[in-house]
Amino acid sequence: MRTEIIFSADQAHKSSTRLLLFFRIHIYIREQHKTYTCTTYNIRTMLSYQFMGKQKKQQCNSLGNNSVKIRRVDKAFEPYRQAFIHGDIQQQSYIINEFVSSLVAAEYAKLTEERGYCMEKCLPIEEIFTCNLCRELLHVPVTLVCGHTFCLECLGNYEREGRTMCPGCGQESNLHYTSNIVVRELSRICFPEKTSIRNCIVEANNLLRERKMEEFMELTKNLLTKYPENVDLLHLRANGYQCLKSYSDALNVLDFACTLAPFCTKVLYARGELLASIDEPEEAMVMFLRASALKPNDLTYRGRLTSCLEKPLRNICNSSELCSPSSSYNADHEATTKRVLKGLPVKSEPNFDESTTTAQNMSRRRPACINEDGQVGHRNVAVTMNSNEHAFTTDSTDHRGDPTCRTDATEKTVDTLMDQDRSCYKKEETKNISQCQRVSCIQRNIIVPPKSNIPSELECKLCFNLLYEPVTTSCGHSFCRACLERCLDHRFHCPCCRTNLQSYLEHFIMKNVGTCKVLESLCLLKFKDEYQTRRLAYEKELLDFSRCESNKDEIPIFVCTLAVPDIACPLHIFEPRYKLMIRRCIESGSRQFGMCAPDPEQTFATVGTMLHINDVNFLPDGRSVVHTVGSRRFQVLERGLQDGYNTAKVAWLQDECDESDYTKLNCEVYNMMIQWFEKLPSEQKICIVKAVGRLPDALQGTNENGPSWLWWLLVAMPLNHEAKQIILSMTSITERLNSAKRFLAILLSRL
Amino acid sequence: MSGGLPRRIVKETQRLLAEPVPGIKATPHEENARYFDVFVDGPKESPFEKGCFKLELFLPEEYPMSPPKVRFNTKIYHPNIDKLGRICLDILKDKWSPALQIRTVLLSIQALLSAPNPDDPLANDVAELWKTNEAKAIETARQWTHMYAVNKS
Repeated sequence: MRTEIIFSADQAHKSSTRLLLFFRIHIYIREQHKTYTCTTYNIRTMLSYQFMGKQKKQQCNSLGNNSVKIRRVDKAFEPYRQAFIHGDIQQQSYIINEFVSSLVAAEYAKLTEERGYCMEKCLPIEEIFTCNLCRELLHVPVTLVCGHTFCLECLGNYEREGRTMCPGCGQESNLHYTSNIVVRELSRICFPEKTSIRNCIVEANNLLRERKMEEFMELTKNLLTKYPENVDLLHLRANGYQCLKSYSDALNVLDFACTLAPFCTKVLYARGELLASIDEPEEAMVMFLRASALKPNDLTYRGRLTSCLEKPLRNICNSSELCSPSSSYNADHEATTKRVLKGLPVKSEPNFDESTTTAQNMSRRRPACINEDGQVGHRNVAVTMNSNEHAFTTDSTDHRGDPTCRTDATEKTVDTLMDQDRSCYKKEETKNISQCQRVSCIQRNIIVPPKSNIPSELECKLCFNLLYEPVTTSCGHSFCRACLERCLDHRFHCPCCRTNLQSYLEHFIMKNVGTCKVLESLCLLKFKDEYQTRRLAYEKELLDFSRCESNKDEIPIFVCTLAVPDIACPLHIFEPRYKLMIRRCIESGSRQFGMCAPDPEQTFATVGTMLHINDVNFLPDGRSVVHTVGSRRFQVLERGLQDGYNTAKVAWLQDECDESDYTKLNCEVYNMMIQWFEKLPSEQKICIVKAVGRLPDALQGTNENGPSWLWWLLVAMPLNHEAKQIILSMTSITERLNSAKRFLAILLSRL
Repeated sequence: MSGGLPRRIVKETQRLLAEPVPGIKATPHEENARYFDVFVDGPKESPFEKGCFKLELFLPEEYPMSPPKVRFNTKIYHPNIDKLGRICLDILKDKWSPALQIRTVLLSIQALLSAPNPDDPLANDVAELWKTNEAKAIETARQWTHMYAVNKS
């Protein structure tokens, strides 16, 4: 029975050394976490194999040396197997899930232990330029309204599946997009080789999709002579071979790719699929296991692993005799298995003999290795051998540094690029300006604009600064958010290409537009200090804008009409400069601005009222209706201009302390007003209430501005602006009441 | 928040001085950096060849949201430039875009000298002659250039 199981284990996984090792580690881990007994217990109760379970548990606990550990492998496989045989479908799926989890965990632990890391490491700058859908360098990058960037093609595939929201954040967007020009250019500059390969790969992929095999093979062959070690190209060529049904070639290529990138899940997975399709499920499974361990969250890899594992489990269950499809190699495997069982090659340091046998195996199994490609074929075989040695053996120190080396190399290239940047910049500084211009033109690909180390691509085309909170339009142009907002205040067109951005503007107004994550991350990564400076400048600008306490502070002035304290003043904002002003009021949190009536001689009147914004309703085209109410009065000391709108330094106007008792006068004028208002025709009354609001309560008012009804009266009374302006500037209640009384007397006499 | 020259204007000026456009010279006034003295050479193979035309350029407060104001100071016989030196050029009016710069505006003006457009005239009499008798119009333009735009000294 035992040999049978061992044999079946071996049968299920040809590369038994490896697999048995997984099992060993798996059990080891389980034991460490004290869960082994638990699992056994579960299986035991599930199967009512009480006696057997106990026995196992005892065995496990008592034995500890290597060979016994290896013997435990079959003990682990056995319960799973037993459970599988006897369990119903639900239990089976549970068991297999359990089995897969433990295998993946073991492989993960192994990878982490041996390589120091096991995830595909990415340089930060590469990570920035990676599409989150295909995990490749962005090709034709498209930035959505929310600021996430993907390849145009990936997004197209995603949309074809009927999904219209952003894959990154789920935000809906219905715009037609074009490539993000800045991101495209920057990726071309930062990764010139990668970008050109990526472009070729896309082209080749299209050929493959259209089944233009001859052209495809020609193109990939040419590319491979140029970049013989590009994993993506190898992967693609393998796909081509697969389409042509020349599996051995495909396998060759993928083997080579695996050597180059032993941690690239995509290649591992492709190799696994290929092996599965040419009826090598055991090796395929190893590939899937590795891929699953490298990316534990990827359900595709895990799913394939599960289905691969299920088959042999079932086979073992169903057949009393073990079929051996590749019986010719049984000798080999038996030998290895035996050795493993003896506990000898636990660490499986492959000696010369072994690798030779493996190599022989391979060439026997895949005679097409030496094919029309001649030399390349040979090379591939050689590397394949190697790959099997170092990619999958457990402890071969020789190759430990391999993937890290590659990463280092890439890192170096990018660093060199950036260093070149810096050194260029320094060199240029010492030269005179015109010379540095020429240098910068020549070395455009090292991104150095004159007198600044910020690449021109990352400079806003509107403010000429480093992009701050970069946003990308649907036509692919990027600007600072504030700069683009100002442009859209004026016209709906893209400043660079005049594309109509009306629907994009609607997103802007709805506050749906997010900063372009790629550009922002890049700015933060490479120009952190400059970006910080920009942020501080922007924040200071808003702070300065919102400050209006001392008379040194400049307050924004809306020149439109006469506003008075306590009375509502609804405004329709359509002029670009006031759109900007209102936006700043809201963003800075000040929510107030000064209102002055126009004055032909001095632009605006000397006395005005602060308006507090209660509510803003934005219209889809960028206009807005703002509900405001008057507060403090001010006298203008100094006039100014800011970004198109007026500003002023002001002194606040407050009523003087009135010693005399004005209660009687107050009552008298109030009654006169009521009398006047009552006598008005009803249409006129309605008009006044509509425009000025309801008459405030007789007692409403403040110390600094006096009773509110008087202000209401000032707006409602048919007086000329000059007279109203004078009353607004009066700082004595008695004086204001007397003026109102005089005017009311005239009005009443006329009625 | 107020005062001070926007960084964009500073940078544009720096770049204009460091990397001048061939045939165009623009220098800011010392007392007002928003005001430029511009000299544009008449393009080759145009009736304005050999002439050097003086223009004034002013960047309004809202620049770059609104276009710069440009005017010819040198008299010129051109269907799109009137007696007062005002220029009929779309990018200086409704086709203005904040992504355009002083440099691009001056280049456009230079191009306008190479390719007069009598179908969108500002100086009606000039445009009329340009349409009816182009040879004579060009001759007049050449004479005017020689009279007003060529430095005789």
